[in-house]
Amino acid sequence: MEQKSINPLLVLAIPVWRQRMVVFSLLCLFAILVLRAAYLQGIQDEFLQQQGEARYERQIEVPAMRGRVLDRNGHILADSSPVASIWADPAKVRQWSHEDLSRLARMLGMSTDELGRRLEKGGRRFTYLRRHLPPDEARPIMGWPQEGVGVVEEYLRFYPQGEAFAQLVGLVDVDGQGIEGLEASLNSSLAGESGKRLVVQDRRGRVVQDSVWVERPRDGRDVVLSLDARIQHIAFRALEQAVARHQARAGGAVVIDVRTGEILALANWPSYNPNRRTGLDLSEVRNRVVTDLYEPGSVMKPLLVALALERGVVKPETPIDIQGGILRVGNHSIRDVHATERALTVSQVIQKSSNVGVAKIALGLDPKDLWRHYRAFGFGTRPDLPLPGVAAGRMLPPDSLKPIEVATMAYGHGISTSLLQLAHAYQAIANDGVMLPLTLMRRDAPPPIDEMRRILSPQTARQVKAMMELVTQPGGTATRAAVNGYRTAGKTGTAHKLENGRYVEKYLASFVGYAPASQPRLVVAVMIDEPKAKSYYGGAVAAPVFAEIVGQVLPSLGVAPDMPGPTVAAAQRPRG
Amino acid sequence: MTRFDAVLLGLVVASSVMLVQTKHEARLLYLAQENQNRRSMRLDVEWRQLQIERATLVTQDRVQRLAQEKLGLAPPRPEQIIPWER
Repeated sequence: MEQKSINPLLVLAIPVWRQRMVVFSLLCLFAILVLRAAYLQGIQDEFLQQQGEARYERQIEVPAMRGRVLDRNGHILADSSPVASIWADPAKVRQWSHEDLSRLARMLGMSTDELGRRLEKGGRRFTYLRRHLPPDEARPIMGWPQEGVGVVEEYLRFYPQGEAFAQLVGLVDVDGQGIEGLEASLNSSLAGESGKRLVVQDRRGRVVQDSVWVERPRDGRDVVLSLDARIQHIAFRALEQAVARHQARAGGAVVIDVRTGEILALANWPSYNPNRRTGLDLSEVRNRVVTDLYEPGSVMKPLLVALALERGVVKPETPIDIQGGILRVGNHSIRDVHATERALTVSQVIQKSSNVGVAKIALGLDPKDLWRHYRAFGFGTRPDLPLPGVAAGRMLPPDSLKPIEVATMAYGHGISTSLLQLAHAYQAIANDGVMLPLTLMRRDAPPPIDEMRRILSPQTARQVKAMMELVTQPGGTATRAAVNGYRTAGKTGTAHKLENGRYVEKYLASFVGYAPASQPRLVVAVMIDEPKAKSYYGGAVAAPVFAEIVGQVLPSLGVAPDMPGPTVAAAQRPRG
Repeated sequence: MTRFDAVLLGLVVASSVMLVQTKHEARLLYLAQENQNRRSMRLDVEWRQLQIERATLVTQDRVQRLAQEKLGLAPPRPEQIIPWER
């Protein structure tokens, strides 16, 4: 028999004991594994479960950075900065060794005694040791070996421009949500959306290991306003000085760009420092320029005369008999404050601010037409601005206007408006009869054509403008609205205040005007509430504020003077 | 064992050593990246704080006060302004 190839291994005779030995040892190893598994699962399970829970993955919320509020030139009006606050659980910290305590005190930059006092002073289980630190300085606390201290990360809102912008920009609450002003009305866009991050935390909730983003936070968007910080400060300071000089209760001022409808300044007094938010007075938080309604008084007169001119009822040179300054309508009488001459032209009625004059003109007009005309200027309609509490104002219903109501509406009583609405109406006149929509956001392009509204014909607007320029010239009611180097125009208003439906001996002085008169660039409206010292007339109280603002702002905007003045030689003369 | 096998064995050993080396390097780089990320966040925070600080320093009020009190400057009067067309 022939054998071909036989593997020598196969021929080897293996003893049976060796086979059994291998099987047995394998079984032994297997048994060890089973026993070990049983031990871990059955006997040690509690300890292991604790250990597992201690190092688990968790989603933590990462707050989004709140957007900034910027002025038209990029100056910061509101910005957030991350800060860290260190808290302690006094009950736990007191059990620390003296060594650990002094180490913590050193870390916090205070003496051990002071740390002890802090722990005594605070709550039983929670107290802040340091608040609003730069996040870096709080870092060592995050990895503190003993239990009892921790770090809260939060954002703090800063308002570098302080009180000048306080009412407009507004405030955020402790949780960083807007509660006043633009911070409140633009909150959804400023706030952004918080993100989520998957992290591994240890037993004390400390992040041991950063891991992936589940969802990145979407930071809030910046908001660029139409306001100009420089102009705002000029307006605010001018207002503040006037309120102090006349011992007034409050004041407001607004500056609008005639050509674009942008609001360049919107100032209120009294104000507050938004960076220190303890003890806020509600009267300081109110944005009077847009929320407070009052009877505007004589400021309305140019609007009435504009309608009479538009309808061809009068011409600027038409004489009006002012009857010695008293006009009886029904059983009421209307009086003039500055009455002297017997007859005034329509232009002089505006220049001298004659109540009798405008009342007589108004009585020659259709009451419904007058009502619609005022309405077209925006009275009784809420201005479309993203601010809380924007007031619409009130007008009497058009269908039942009595002659006395028409006559009083002519000089701005029986109608309530905000200062902003008056400024807007004057924007239309200054812009040759075309009203532009107002905005608080910077306009990089002119407003859309279909949002412009022609209210007066260019001829009428020019005639009214010529009359309003007389107001600031000698013989007018607001000679103190005159500015060196620039021609100005406007109208004063002195309104009796209504309290519980009765007119009281309290006044509201206002002036609304524009400059330069030859080519209007700015509308400036000023309102001083309850001036007490000496005079309360708009021409004496509010007009100088107008002049102050215009005189400072126009040169700073590089607007060329339009009034022939002293020559270059005078400019080179050294200061006296 | 052929020579070819020996070469393969050498390659396997070398590759595993390199794997360890690469993993180690990756870990180091990851740490470095994390450090830089943290640094970048820290600098962001600092930048934002500096921005706020600058904004506080350049407010109209403060600049005007410094210009008037420290430098003795005054706003130009209209007759001191000479406009010219560009």
